[in-house]
Order: sequence, then C-alpha cells, then structure tokens
Amino acid sequence: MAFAEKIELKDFDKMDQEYKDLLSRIITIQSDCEIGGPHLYVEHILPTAPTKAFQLVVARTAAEEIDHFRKMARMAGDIGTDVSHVLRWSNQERYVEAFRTHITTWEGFAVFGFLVDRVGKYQLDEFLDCSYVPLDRAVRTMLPEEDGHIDFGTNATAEMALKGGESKERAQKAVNYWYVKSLDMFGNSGGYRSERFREWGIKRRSNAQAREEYIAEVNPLIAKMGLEIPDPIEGRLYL
Amino acid sequence: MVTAAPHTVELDDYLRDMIRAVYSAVDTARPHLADDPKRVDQAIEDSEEVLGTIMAGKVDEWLE
Repeated sequence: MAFAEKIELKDFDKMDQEYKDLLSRIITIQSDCEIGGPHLYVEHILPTAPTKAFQLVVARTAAEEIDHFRKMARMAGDIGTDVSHVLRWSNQERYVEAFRTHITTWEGFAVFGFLVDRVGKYQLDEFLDCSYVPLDRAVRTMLPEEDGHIDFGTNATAEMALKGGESKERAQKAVNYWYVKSLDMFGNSGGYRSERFREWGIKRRSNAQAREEYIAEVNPLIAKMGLEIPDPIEGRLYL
Repeated sequence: MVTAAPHTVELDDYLRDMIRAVYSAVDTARPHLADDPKRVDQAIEDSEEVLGTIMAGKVDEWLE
C-alpha cells in the first residue's frame, strides 16, 4: 500500500530518510531540466528566430522555464538542498541526456516544444496530488505555461510539415532526433527508484507506463502532420 | 523544522526580478510588432541581456 499522507514543509524533517533523499533528488533533477531547456536554445535561437514575433516567443518561453527553475530551486532550498550549482553547469553536465546538446535551428526549437516539453508536462503531471503538498502546489502553476510551450511547438511543427518539400524534410529530421530522446527521458522501465517514488506517493506512474501513455498521445499527432513516426527503439539509451 | 539551504531566499528574489524584467520587455513590445520596430528591437535586446546573465550562472556575483 503506497504512502497516502500529505506532507507540508513543516513535516519534512520528521519523514523517513528515504523519503527525504528521493524528494531532494527528484526536485534537483526537475530543477536541472527546467534550466536545461533555455540553455539549449537561448544562445542560438533567440537572435535568429524567423520573425521578431517569434524572437519574443523564445524570450518569453525561456523566462517561463527559468521561473519554473526558480520555483523548484526555492522548494529544494526550503528542504535544505542547494541546486544553484546547476545554473553554472555546462550542457554536457546535465542529469538528463536530452539536454546535453544545443539547438541551432528553428525546426529544432519547434520540435523541442512539440515533443520534449510534452515529456516535461508528463513529468510535472506525476506530481499532481503527490504526497509533498508544496510540490503539488508548484506544478499546478507551471502546467498552464508548459501547455503553451507544447501548443506553440506543435503548431509550428505542423505548419512546417504542411509546407512540404524541404520544410517538411527539416521537420522530419528534427522529429527523428527528438523522438528517441523524448522516449529516453522517461528513464529505465524496470528502475528500482521508480517503484520507490510510487511507494512514497511522490509519483503516480511507472516510467514504462508514462512512456506508453506518451507514445499513445504523440504518435497520432506525428502521423496527422503527415510525418513518419520514428523507430521507437533505434538510438535509445534507456529501455 | 528543516534548515533551509544558504541563500535560498536571496536567489529566489534575484531570479524573480530577472524573470519579471523579461516578461515586462516582451509584454510591452508585443502590441507594437507592427507599428514600432525600434521598441521591439529594444525589448529583444533587453531580453537577450537579461537571459544571457542568467545563462552565465555567476550565482556568487548575483548574491554579493
């Protein structure tokens, strides 16, 4: 039977050490993912987005993701975990492999929103009604913004695909790159920690279950755009 | 009660101010995309500067 109590900050110190360690770990990784996004695209895409309107979208998106980092960093700090080191990290040092690169093309930015921000939403969804109430409260303020990033990326990718020709080819190439990265972001299917997160009521779904739900959501969207669904296994690091 | 990590509040305040600066720049420029390109360019430039500072991650300097 999974842990069903609701924990506030004032209760944190009384909790089992495993709970403290798991919560500290997951908030640290989530912080890293939130700041990892802007580190992928601000440098190259903010100055080169196709229009000034899109440049403003990139700036606003980056600021919203940094605000998500801020909320996670505050929550981590409140339980005694300093995550400020991830602000200084290079992309190659990120916890999650998908963030160890740079986005240098507009289609890369669009598909990142379409596929990777959607994984981000799945990760945040995990914490809805979780046992640590401050985390539940924080993600409820973050999810509407994440929806906005996903919608922008999905629409931009669909428009590129609709144009056909070289534009569609570029979109397909970006989908091919980010699809497997997205699936890997859910982690190992049989991970021990995944089960402990659920036992403590911090997460709701197993890595495998969340990944399957993601695939069921995203594959029809890719097909509807007239793009090919990439091989879900080739290039994967975590199965 | 658990002891907070050092500078938790200060970092939160600093980032909140920086984020607000970008929101303000973007929100001020958006209605003028068609009629005031200079204002939009300035907003993009300001956003790049603020975001560049955050990306540089010099936390110790921010909290001096």
